[in-house]
Amino acid sequence: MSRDGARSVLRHFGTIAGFAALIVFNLAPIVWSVRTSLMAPSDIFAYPPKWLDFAITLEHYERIVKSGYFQTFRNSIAYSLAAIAIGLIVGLLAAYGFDRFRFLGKKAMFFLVVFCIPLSMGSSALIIPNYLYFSKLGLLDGWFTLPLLYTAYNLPMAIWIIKSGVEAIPVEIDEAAKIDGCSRFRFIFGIVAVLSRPVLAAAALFIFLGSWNEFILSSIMINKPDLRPVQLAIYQYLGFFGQEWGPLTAAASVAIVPSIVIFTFLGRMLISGLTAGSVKS
Amino acid sequence: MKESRLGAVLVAPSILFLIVILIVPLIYTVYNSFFDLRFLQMGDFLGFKNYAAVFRNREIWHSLGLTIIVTFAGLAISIVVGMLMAVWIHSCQGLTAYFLQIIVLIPWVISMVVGALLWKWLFNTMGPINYLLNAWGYGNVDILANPRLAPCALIFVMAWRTVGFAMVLILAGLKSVPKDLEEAAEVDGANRWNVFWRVRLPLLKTPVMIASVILLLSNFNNVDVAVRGTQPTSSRWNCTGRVLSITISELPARFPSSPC
Repeated sequence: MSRDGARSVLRHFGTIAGFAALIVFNLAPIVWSVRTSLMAPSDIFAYPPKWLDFAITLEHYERIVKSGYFQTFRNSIAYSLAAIAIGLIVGLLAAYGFDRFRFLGKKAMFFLVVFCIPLSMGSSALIIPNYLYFSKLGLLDGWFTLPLLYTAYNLPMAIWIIKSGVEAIPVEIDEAAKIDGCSRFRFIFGIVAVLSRPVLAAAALFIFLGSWNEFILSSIMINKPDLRPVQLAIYQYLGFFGQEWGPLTAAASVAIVPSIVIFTFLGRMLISGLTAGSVKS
Repeated sequence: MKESRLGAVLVAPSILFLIVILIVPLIYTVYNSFFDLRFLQMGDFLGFKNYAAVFRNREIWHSLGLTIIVTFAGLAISIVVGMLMAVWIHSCQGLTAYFLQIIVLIPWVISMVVGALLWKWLFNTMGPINYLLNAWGYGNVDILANPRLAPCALIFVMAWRTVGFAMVLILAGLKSVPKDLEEAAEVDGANRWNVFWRVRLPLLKTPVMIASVILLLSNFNNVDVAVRGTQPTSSRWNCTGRVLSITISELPARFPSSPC
């Protein structure tokens, strides 16, 4: 009995230590940054650090708003929405095509999609050629540049996620719709899309995170200040504000909000989508 | 339209997207590597001279070595910690399990730029980490400028960002382990430790492999954390904190007059 008691104490201790570590490592950096963004410049570098006893000020937020931060916010939202819209439409078509049809070169094409997953996970080696290539095509520095890139970079994973949902729809439904005279495209966007809502949401979330958080591509493809996305603005603030951590942490704190809010409420979908293909194969 | 052709038509837009935006630049890179591209202007055919120049460049070897160390160390930490987290979360239920997953995944959800910025701020000489070090009687350390500590910080931030991703894939694997297999092992007298090593772990091979490959490639190519979390151009950094991806992204600017 006493051994069981000791074990349960150990277990509780382990659980508490795990929670503490999680909070310290995963939440504290964010809290610390939000806290810094609310402090007056003189308090930020106070030593020893002021943990709680400081006056809250919004001056850093005012400064980033004045420097045009919300323009970049709007840009990022527009880029993400465009990438989500194109990605879901094109991805749904492809997922359905891959799952229900046999055609010449299907295996090779699906291999191409899978091959592009790691390629799209961040490929610094491709940055410069990508720049040269886009400048040759005249696609640099336009409002369409980043949506195009973000769609292509997130498409392989989106197809992978959506396909797992399409697979689960019984073929009998296809046949029934066909007999009832439903056209293929109406069928895909009416019935298949509705039935695979969870995977579409997961894919949309994935594309959103990829587009919202992307930095390195935008840093070389975009030059016009009006077209900058959020992450690029944060990066450029480091040069602009120097070592002024107030505006920097304010910008970072605002940029995290959409991801965290969306993820907290729709996280379950993203998690199930991410793991869709990995288990059965 | 014939059924077989319709399939190809449905897939075509995606394939076109991927070929035009991902595959062609890849081929273009290889093609360009054989030419003199000074000032980003197409020049003479050089054959393998560019490769020779790269292989002679000691800085590149140095950063390649550092990149490999950072990549594998980061990967190992992510997989091991991700595994621990997955096993822990698997033993929790309902809302607790969900909230744990959310918290573990938060670093993966926020961007690398912001993540690196947050940690840079914490590692700051006046920051809380140094304050705690002082409180425990250690001296001030400028972690990001120290040639030994900086790569460790890089590994740490990279692993921090990717633990959640590894956890999710491994957790999904754990959930797919059939209950009756574990029960059968217990009936046969295996303790929990044995069940884990002999039953669960072998069945987790696939998710661990998938997570490893994805994280390996993304770590290897990760330029964001390194650019943002370190100061590539300041002299105190020299080669110590320079990973391959930064070197690649800076080559044209740094060697405007040499073929590379």
